[in-house]
Amino acid sequence: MKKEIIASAIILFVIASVSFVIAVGSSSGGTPNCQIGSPGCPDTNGVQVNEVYRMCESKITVAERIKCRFNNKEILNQGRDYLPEAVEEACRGHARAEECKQLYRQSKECYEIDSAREKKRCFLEKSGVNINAGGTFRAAPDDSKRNYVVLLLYELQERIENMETVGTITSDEATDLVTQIVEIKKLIIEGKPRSEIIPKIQEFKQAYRTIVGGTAQ
Amino acid sequence: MKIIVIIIVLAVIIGGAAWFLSSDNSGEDSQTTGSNNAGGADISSENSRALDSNDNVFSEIDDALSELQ
Repeated sequence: MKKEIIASAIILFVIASVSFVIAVGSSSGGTPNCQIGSPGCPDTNGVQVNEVYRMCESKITVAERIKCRFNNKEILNQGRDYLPEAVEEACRGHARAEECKQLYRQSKECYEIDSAREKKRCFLEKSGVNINAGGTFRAAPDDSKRNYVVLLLYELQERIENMETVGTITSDEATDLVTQIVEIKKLIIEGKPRSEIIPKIQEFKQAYRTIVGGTAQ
Repeated sequence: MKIIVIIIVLAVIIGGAAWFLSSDNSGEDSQTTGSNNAGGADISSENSRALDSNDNVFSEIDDALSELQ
């Protein structure tokens, strides 16, 4: 009888210990005073940022993902240093995804340049136009020309994102324009003919003129 | 009579040369959609447009697209 009581006590103790460990492990681990993004609360912050990141990535359409990122950009910016770099939308779902990702990686530094002329030079170089050896754009391979247009469109995309940040346009308007840019970039990267690209560009310019203004023709 | 024939032949040669040169230039122009590029310069040349406004970026996209195959 005594042995049975001791065995029951041990079993109960083991069950209680395991339950305690599981309960601690599944809690958020943060303290009530931890604010998102404040030093000393990296786990709480990470959980929040990662959740938002995953939520946006899980959206089905390109427009939904872009809209989600616009609406949560303050939170997502906090995770810039440790979030996995999201694959650029234009590089998803086609056979030239790797070349596309490489182009974005290589040209990243161009977007940090303030001088409009130097930035253009950087775009040309990263596109593969042999300007240092006196080569002309006209003589460059078709892929290089396509890369250059993609980088120009990404420049426009950045400018539209800035307009949304300063409140010149709404997040819905920015989502509409950026989604169109992504679609055009995909067509260009996939090697679609000019006849297929030009109507989309005209459509985009029309939307841009309506939302932003300007003389894009 | 001989002089008239020589003048006509010369006129035909000069006229033909002028037509040839002008048609060659128009072919060059059709490859550049103009806009702000100085003198229809190649996109990558030093005196081509800078990307200092959104309108210039649009024009640059048009010019680059016109060069696609």
